[in-house]
Amino acid sequence: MIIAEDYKNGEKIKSVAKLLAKEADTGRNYRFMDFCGGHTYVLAKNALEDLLPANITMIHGPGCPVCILPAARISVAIKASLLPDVVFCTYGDVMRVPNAKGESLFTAKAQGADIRMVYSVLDALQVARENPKKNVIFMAIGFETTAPTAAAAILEAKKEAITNFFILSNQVLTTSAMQAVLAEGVPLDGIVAPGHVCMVTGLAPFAKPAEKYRKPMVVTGFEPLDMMLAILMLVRQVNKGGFALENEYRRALAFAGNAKAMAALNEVFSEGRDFKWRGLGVLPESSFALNPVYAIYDAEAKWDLPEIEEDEPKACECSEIIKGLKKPPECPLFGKVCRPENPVGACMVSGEGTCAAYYKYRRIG
Amino acid sequence: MDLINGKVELMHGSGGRAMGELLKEIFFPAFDNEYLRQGNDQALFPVSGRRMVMTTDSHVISPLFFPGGDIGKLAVNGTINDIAMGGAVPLYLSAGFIIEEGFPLADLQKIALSMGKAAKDAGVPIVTGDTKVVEKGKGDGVFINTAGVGTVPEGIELSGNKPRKGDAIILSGTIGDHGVAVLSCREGMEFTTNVVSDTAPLHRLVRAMVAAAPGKIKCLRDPTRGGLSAVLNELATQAKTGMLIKEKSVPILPEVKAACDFLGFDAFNLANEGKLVAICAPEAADTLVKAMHHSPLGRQAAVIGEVVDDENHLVRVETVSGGVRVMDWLYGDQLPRIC
Repeated sequence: MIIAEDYKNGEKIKSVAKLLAKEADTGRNYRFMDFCGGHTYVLAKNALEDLLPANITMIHGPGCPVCILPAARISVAIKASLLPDVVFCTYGDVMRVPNAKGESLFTAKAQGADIRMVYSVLDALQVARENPKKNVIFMAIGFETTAPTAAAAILEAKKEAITNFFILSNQVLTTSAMQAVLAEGVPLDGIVAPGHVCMVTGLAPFAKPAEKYRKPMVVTGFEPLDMMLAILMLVRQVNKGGFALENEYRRALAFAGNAKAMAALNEVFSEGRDFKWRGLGVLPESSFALNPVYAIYDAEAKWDLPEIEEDEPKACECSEIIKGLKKPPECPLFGKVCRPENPVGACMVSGEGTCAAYYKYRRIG
Repeated sequence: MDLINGKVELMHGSGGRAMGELLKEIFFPAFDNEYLRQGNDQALFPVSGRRMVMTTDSHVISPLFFPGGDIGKLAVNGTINDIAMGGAVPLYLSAGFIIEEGFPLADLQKIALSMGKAAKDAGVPIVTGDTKVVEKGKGDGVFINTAGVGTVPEGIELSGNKPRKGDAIILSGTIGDHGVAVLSCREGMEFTTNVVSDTAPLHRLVRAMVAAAPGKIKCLRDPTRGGLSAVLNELATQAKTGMLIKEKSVPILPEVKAACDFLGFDAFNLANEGKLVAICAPEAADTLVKAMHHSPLGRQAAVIGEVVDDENHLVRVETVSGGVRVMDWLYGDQLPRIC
């Protein structure tokens, strides 16, 4: 096992903090978005914002696959889980997300739905192999990081002629959400972009939003030093007055990404489907749909699972928080009604949600 | 907690805040008495002029056998440790088995022999027991309950409500070993690691500690389910204080750090079965740590932080880079990250 110990080293992190203090122009403010929930978590868990100069503000973006699921998709999942002879497989995080009526997959489980928590889509495929008389549905969520494994599972199902395995796809595109946030006009001076997404897609997809919106962008990894270095690189870009797409994550990331993963992804999925994101609304062509050849693995093609418009929970500021327009303590529900044990909005459910990270690591009362 | 329509969920048993609510809402009101109200891992009561403690613990671990131990060894050591955390000398244990129909006799014998050996090694005999068998599908292999009694030597008064501002917080060794060892062989999650469970009886270490710093130890806790974070948060609540832990002082094996990294887990939340947390008067901290270093189970003991004032009873961590964050107490189980 490789440990990126150097990238956790306290002294190195402190030395970057010193450079930031020196180089950040006291005559201006810097507003950077950490797009990915994983980055929000790294900032909070390592208390890195304590080390930043007062004029650098981090705004936490919509990159949490659970948080961006709208209530209506949860209702679709609940309905699918309650179908006869169905085993519904999901990541644990999704189980507690409530729909508009306060129901969740946990509620469905208590009503008798056969819901199994899995760690990977490949575990769900195994459930299908072991239960040939049941229909096994996997709730596929996530960005380009999880889509290739969902694709690989479908390719494997095809190879083994497994006919009782289905995907309920909520696979979405990072750059669509990024463009939506930028189009919204959230005042930003730069973006910390997710290194693991680029490990799959390569850097190219991020060049477009960087150029179109003229924003400095730095792709980085998930250790505390990665974050600090990315912020330093953004400060330097802003000071120079340019906008470039830079790669801090060179130790892991090649410009071109992972050709094999992309091949599997493109074989099975196309980026054509509109998708309603919590907080961002319907974004055109922002999710992956199964290609027609693989439609037999699509749960929404096999069963009638209409997505019915639902209101998001009242007073919940999830949508503003996802767009980076508000911080969790500005939500009237935060830490009071809405806590990890009783989440009102999805941002409080997932460990990578902004509200959960704030509650877990930054609450004061 | 919704006592009318609510249902018991798995997180109510995970040692986190959800379980705390279950105890507060259901069991404490139903059983209320002065001994239960002590709120410690063991109850202290007088018996013909002597002070005795009693404790009980049920074990439902999956898998039953794991690197460094098995459910039987865990059941013996776990109860010995709950007695020892009261500063008491463990005397006798009981063992109750709930076995699922179809469970292999060879495995049952292996577990029983392991329990016998653990009890003998610790010098605490299992003197009574009970066996029940349930229909196939109504249990998960075998569940074991152990209970134990012990006596508290003169002059020892430990309780979670005694810590005060300035007291030192001491940890006896590396955290997360047991949690990682068990996770590494849990179904659907197998990974290769050379970490083994730290399951061990702590009563001899405790005996050495109380001898080294008489009257200076405020309380002892073993950070089992819920890990170091659960124990510190419980103590902060019980003592009505805050705590400040220095991340770089907490011993963690590199293999445990690596496993946490790729699973997205926090070592502070992982279970331990052979470690203890001691809170003591600041002037006794050095003596106590040195004494612990002489005991096989305390070789890596270290002061990891101090008790501070905080009206909200939060536990905070100073990170290796100097920032400060909350050390959260898990609500339910930890979940691996998605991406």
